[in-house]
Amino acid sequence: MRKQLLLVLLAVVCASGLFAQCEDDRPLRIGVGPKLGLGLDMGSHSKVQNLNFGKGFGYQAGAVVNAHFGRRYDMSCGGTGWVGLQLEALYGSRAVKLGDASLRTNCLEIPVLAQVYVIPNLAIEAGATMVKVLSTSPTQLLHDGTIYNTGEIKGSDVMISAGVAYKSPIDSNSSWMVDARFNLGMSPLAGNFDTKVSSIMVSFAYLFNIVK
Amino acid sequence: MKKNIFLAIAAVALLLASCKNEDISISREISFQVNPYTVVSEFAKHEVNTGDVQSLPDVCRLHTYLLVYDKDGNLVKSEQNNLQDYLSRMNVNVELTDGNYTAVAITYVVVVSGETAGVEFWSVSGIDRLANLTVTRNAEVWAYQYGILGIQTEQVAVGTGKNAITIDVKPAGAFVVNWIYNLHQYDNEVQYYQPFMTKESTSCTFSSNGQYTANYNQSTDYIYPLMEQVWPQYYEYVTVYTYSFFLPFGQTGFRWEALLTDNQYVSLFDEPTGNIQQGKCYQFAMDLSTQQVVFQELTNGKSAMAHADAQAVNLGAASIGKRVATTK
Repeated sequence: MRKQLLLVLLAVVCASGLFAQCEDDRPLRIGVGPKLGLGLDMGSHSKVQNLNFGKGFGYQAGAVVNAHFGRRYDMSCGGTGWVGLQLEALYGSRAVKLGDASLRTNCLEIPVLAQVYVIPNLAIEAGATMVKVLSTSPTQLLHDGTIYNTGEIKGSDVMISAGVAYKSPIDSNSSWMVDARFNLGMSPLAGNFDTKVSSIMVSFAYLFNIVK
Repeated sequence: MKKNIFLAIAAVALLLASCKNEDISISREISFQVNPYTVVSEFAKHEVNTGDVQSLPDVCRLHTYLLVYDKDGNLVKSEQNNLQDYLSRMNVNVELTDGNYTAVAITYVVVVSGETAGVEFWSVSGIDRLANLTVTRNAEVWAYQYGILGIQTEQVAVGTGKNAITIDVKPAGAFVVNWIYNLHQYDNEVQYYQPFMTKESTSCTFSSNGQYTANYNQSTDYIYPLMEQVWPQYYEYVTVYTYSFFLPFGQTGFRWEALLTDNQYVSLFDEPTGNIQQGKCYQFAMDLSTQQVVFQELTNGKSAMAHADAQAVNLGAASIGKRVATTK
């Protein structure tokens, strides 16, 4: 019964994209808008310092540009094709726990993601998120008699990002998008502080269609 | 097309290469505990009356330094405190980056109140660099048992060593008990008695590796009085004593002098020599009845001469911090 209900919902979602009213015939749709997200951050084990990090909560906010190319079928509206591209500029704040303390890094994040719409409104997305640490809090972290001057963390990272995004049926002027994404940290926070921060983010974006 | 692929790969490689992040400074909170009791623990075995050495009078405090130097001998942390007594401890947390350091603990007594408030029996100078660090005796005042100088250096390896370090401070020199037995033997002929040593180390200087040496200033080849003049007419005691503290010195001479009633100075009986060694206890005793003068190391417990008179009186305690009088 539950499976049938899901199939019906999926069919409605698909149909909404396929049979929406088209205003013009451009094979491209670009939306721009704000984005907010919440996430769970994880720090990897530091082998050099022998530190075990716990999970913490983070958030991000910024702007997104979403381009959806082509038509799924000849009769479909423009911007319903198989491929999309998403560029974001976000301010992100991530936290990982170390004992009773919490290390928060405030970052500029630029995700660049390719999207493949496996069904008209649901895309699998993958790409890279460029991260530049702007500041940290606290600037000194005391743990087991060792003081880490975390204020000196000013590094960058290129995270590997992958997830799924659901974009609402296209209105003539706007749409909204929800995505869930895993960002895999690839670079240690510092040369001698070999903890990599990864995160699972769920975010919401509201897109104003500027090209339709 | 191939060019585009190459450019894309180069761009990704550049991005990944740009993420080789720099080191941050990591430091350890090193907990130092300075234990001054070990300065007097051995000397206390030879104190004539319990508490003579281990206790401080109310007007005194134990001034304690902790100086931490980096591997180049530059001062990175300096802490001073006036401890209540030798049983107190000084606890200091110091934030240090990984590396090798030299920690120096210095203790000496200061007078903080009363008639001689402000007197320090030793002074520390040149603390900015280990190679310039010097501790100098204040020879202008009487110190007695409170003139004991404690020094200890410890090598500290931050990052690979312990984060909690206890520094058991050791005496920088030797301890001497000065005795006069049968004080009134020559009351009709003598105005006062006074013991002297012929040479003395007056300061300690440190080398860049933290070792220190006691220095004898040859330009001041003076005779150093070990205690105030003892005027028999003012005391009814038969046996009196005081304590002295000296920095290490090779062979040095000791003698008791007396000012006779005809204002002539005489050296009494023998003039022994002694080899002053760090951490050792000695007694310098004169028995006016037997006309004996001895300088000897005290080894196990109190000396036999000390036991000879349970009523022996310490003349030093009342004179701490007073100016050394001109004797001749």
